[in-house]
Amino acid sequence: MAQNDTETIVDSFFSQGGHTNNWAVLVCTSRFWFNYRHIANTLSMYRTVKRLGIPDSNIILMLADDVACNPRNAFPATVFNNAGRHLDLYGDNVEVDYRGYEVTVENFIRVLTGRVAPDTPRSKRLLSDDRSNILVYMTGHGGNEFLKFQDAEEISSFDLADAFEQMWEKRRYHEVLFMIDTCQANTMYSQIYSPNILATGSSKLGENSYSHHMDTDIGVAVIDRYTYYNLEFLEKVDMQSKATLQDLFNSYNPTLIHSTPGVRSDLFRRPLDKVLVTDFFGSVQNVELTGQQYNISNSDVDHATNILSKSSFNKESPCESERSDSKNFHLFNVNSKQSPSSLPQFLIASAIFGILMKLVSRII
Amino acid sequence: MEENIDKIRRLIIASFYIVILLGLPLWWKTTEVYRAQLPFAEIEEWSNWEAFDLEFPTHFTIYVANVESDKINIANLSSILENLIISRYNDINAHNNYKPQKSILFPVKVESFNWDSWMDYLQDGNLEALNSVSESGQYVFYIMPNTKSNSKAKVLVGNQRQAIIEVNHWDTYVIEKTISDLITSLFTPEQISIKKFIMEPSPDSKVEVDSMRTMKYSPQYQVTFSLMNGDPSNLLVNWDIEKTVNKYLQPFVDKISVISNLTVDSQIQHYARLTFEPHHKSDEKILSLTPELLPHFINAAEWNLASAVSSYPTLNFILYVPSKEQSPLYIQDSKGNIMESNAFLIPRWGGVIINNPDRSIGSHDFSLEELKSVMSIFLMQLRGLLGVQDVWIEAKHALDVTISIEFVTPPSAAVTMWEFDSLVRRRIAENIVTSISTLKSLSQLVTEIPNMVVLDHIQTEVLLALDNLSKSCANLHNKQYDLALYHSKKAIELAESAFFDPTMVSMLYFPDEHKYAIYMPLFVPISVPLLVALFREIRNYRER
Repeated sequence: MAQNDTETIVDSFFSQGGHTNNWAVLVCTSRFWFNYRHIANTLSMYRTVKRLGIPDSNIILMLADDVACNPRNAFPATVFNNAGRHLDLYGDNVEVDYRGYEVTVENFIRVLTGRVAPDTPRSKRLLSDDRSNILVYMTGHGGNEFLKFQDAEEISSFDLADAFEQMWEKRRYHEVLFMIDTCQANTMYSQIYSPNILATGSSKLGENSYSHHMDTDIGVAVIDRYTYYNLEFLEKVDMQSKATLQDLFNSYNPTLIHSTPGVRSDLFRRPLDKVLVTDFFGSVQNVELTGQQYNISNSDVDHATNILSKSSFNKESPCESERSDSKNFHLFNVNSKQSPSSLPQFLIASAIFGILMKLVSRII
Repeated sequence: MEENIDKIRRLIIASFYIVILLGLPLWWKTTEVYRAQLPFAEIEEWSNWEAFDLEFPTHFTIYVANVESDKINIANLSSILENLIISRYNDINAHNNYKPQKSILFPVKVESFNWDSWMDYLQDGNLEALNSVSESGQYVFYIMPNTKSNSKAKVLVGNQRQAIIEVNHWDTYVIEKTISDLITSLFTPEQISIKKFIMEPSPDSKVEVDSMRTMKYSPQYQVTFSLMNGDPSNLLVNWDIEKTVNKYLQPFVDKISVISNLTVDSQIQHYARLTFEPHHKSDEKILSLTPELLPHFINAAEWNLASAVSSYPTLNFILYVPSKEQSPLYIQDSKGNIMESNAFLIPRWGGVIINNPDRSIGSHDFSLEELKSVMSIFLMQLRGLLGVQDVWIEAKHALDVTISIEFVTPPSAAVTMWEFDSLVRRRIAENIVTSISTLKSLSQLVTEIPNMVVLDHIQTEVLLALDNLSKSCANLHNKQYDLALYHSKKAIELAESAFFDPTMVSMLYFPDEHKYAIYMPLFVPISVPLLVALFREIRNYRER
């Protein structure tokens, strides 16, 4: 009876994956103007997760360089991820938590493991718990089992794996989606050994990851291919979407991306076609309807008399009304500013500058 | 002469080797990673869950009315009850595939009391007048015959640790059954949840509603009350939240502060818009929110709910006043009925109430009476978020329907002693288990990552944490629940601060190849002439 009721409620919670909050750690590791596209990659991801409902307080954004204010930027205080320049990623309300020289391997590891100095402000801390789903997105220049930070140092796949293990030891996550866009990206997740981590990367060992296209006015490539095609999928996702990560991974086309994206799911325990995209890229809030209220005894009345009077018995419990109706719903805020199609302009631009692109677009 | 040159040459070669031999230990010492010795064996001992058995001594005193005492066999009642309860427990454990608990004991003391002198109080339900000593872990039941002639057994639950039980048949067997039923159903849910902590420290084993709703333990929570106004252009709202909090929430905050401190702050935000349009209910002039819409009720992008005051967990409570176009706004439950409370809870985040005030005068000051009902819903949600469980309500669901349960007016603290004790026990168990697993993780990390520096203060913290753990367990054994709680809090605090110490970030990973690459250019050129000289000397020595 009562036990059965509880079990059905438990089921409805469990079917949603069992997390209560979402966090995102978005890292751009490269400096300098010609790495414009890495900033754009990261800011695009930032915009997407925010659009899908993760609040700024739950996003740790690490940007190594500020291209928006670079003197070479023909469009000051903006960052675009498309030659169409419809969407200013730097526009309103971007909260960068670690910027410039703060983006170091040490700080990144500290954020993940929670071992920050005691005077670190809340916005620079990853305050996740055992019910947090975390998206870790990294982009920059990398190689076999390493990712360069700001031309000064590098993080190896072992460091990363150890950091995740330390997070798991302290139950700082429920599930992690690790996504990386760099050359030979798939090598970066090869050493991870902690459970409940799903990893995906842009290219396999020995392959480079390429930029998608350049903007001739800005003068540099504005986005990378892997991120571009991820965003193309994610733009169609809104909070109500039932799209799964399997759909996302199936959408990867190696001929378009010019490299072989990889997915590592052996540590992950849920089947990918049951994992919603919004489990990681959005914020899920479970909801439980409150049908009860606590009967506050009126403190105006003298306590002693209250108890002495016979009429003070409640026929029911202090918590009135029916059992609360537990439900877990899994939907999202609609806040998408759908930009008008940039396809025509883009096609023209790419036709004109196609040859130029081939020459200019560099190895990441 | 040649003899002399040979000697000098040998001396020179030897001096090189002496320098190297002396230098080696120095090099070893200076490149060593400093590691204070951690008590690995002790941590290992603690983390052996099989041997580990938390003890929550609980005593019951049962006063039986001395009416028709020839019908009741008081002498044997206590031992019969004890055996009955333990056998029930073992059944439940077996049913849940738990190992039989070793240290489970429910000492029951049975006394008879003078019915005539206490009759009046008991029939009035005036539990306070019964000068029962109320100590944590000691519960008192008063058993008396049913005064009214209905057939149901009746339980009146007090705010302190007592309950009056009216049995329908004045008979030893009925008393035995009722008491043992009550005790098992009161303490089993708690035991099971504590067991889950201990037996399955990993949270992913089984997702439970409670564990998802209840916040992780923290010594402090930040409670924020926000009044969100959808559109101030035609309705201004205000509330005297300070007075409300002082009046209705403060007793709860005071009571619960033994476990965790709550800091309370409040804010009013205007132009707090929803990100979606609520449904128009076709037949009525109201707007409704279906449960599917509720998860994105919180406009995370625009509502400023994040606080940077502290790094402690935040609990948000929102009173939402919709804009004119969107009011009156009501929440529908899954069956499509309008919810009277108009409130919902977001696990581990907080609670939301939607209020549709009268818009006729263009401004609305929430009266204390309105805020009281608002606060009573917030309190309910806060109780859920902090893990206060209605032990008796749960027991009621587990019990058969033949027993009716009534309650004395709930205390102003919004938590009865029954609930409070249960929360204390669960938090003690949680803290102890968490600190042990934190220490275990720490020792594992230190073992696994050999170039991690372990400073002396880490060692101190670990030792102190272990000390507090054993103190906490010892206090539990002696029924000193408040001390046990104090030490368990200390233990978790120390263990966490050791684990999250900023110095505990391991050095960057250096593969061995890198180390060779660094030392090679230095040592290879030096070692070649040295080795050649050594071999030559040895050859010379042999030839001689």
